[in-house]
Amino acid sequence: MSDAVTHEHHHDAHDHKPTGMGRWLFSTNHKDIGTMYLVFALIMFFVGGAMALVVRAELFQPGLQYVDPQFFNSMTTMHALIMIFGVVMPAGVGLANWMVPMMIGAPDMALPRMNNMSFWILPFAFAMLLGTFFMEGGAPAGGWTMYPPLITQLGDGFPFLIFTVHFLGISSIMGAINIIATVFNMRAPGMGFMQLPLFVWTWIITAFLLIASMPVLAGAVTMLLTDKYFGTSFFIAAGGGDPVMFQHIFWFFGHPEVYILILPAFGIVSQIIPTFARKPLFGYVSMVYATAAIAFLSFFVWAHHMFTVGMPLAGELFFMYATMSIAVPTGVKIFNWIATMWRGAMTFETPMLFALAFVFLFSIGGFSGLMLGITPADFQYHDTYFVVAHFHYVLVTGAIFALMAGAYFWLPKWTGHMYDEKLGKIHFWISVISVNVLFFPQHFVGLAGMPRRIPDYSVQFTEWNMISSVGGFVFGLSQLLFLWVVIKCVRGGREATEEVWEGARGLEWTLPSPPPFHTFTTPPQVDEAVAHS
Amino acid sequence: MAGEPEKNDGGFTAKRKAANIRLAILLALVVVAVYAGFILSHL
Repeated sequence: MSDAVTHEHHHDAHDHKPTGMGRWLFSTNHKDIGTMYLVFALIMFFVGGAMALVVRAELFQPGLQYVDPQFFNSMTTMHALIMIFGVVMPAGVGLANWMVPMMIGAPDMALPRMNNMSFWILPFAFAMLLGTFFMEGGAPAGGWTMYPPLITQLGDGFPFLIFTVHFLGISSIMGAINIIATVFNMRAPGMGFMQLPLFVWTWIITAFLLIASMPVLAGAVTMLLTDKYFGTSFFIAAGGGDPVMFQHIFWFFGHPEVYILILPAFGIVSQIIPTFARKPLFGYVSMVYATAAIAFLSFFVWAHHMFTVGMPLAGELFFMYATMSIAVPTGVKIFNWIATMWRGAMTFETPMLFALAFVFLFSIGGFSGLMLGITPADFQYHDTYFVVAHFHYVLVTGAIFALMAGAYFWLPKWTGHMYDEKLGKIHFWISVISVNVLFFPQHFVGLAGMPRRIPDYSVQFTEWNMISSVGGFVFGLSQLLFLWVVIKCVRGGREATEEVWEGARGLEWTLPSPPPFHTFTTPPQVDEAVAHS
Repeated sequence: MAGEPEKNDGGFTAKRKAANIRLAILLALVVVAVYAGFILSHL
């Protein structure tokens, strides 16, 4: 007891933190590691975004303009790998690192050294992946799905791609284990599972998805590696293997992966809407069960990504109906967000604007997903730009917009300064308009038959591609504004209060802004009023 | 001690640390089992 009191006194006197490079290299502090994840994700966002702009520049008009087809394919492949594994996932983990311990009243993550390792694997993994650009045969160009036999034709970069995927998997799995251990073992007394903020709930469920699906991806890419270098024939038809088997295995990972990307986004939006509607979240319990239902169902829908490879009619019907059934819990969530806003005293600060755009635009992506889930219709849409439009509505106006909303929402808490609201709103409006100019026309060219992953196209698709490219460049460049808002906020600005937002509820808002280096070294008293917003 | 918040030395009391490590090992074993089981089932 006396030790604990001395400990507290120590922190009251001066909030001790390490200095110099060592603070970051050897960090075991959840806030510092969260910051590193977020900064890393932001850097990779611009790297992956630059690759998307190469794609959009090439597709501005038909014919071959700037890059050769091999490099174009590398751009699409690397853009996807970077955006999925280097941006959305690390940003989600970064937010979890920062917010989960503060939301549950824990002093830190359960396994802080493992937390450090989870992060520091990432820069090395991506250095390895980006290094493939300088190797014989170039960077991966067979699509992020890495289908054999095409992917095994990659040159020297192939083993580096495989090991990158392994490292990213190890990093994600360690992060997931950490989050589960933290929430299961480190909650403040009095905080039961049904008092957890929705963001924490979505992250527990995401963590279980990671643990269940990542080893499957690791297994699949290990089998690719042994097929290429060790004489096995898992996926080589000539040796008795089955290339289509890889697609089944990949998508058994790949579809849960989609929910790994989007469930934390649901959690962020579920924190923001009640705050700015100044009402508790409508249907908290149904939100938890809907999230769990989405995660559970995500393991039974994988083959909707590959209807066109051929499968028994019963299989097509099963995967079609299973896919459609996911719309039910997703609809519950959309309904609850709208019901939360119903008759609320709403204000429209930047986080709320991004959250509202998320609800509306993610729904468009959801509906086009339902269209793609209809087997006979999918035969028409498969491998066209309609698919590209669909998943960018889900992942850009869905996941990325929610991450932006979360960044604006929590920036004042992290930095102790309010961000520039005017610039934030300008960023929002330019982004929301340009992102629709970018992706909505892709529905049209897709329905008209334009194939994805091809650097050239038929002249009838020219106008919509030009419009899409203009939207792409405006959207890409407008993200520099976001970077400026963040830098400006870190450097100074109006001081943020503890609560920051008038309607904010939860343990994290009881801490000073910015929170001290060590928080909740004594567990807080948890009551219903602060447990979840 | 009723009414007084439980003191907590950063979550690293021996008891809690052991529980965290036990859970982490259990989850890691699940990961290894899925990975190895998956490859072996395709041999």
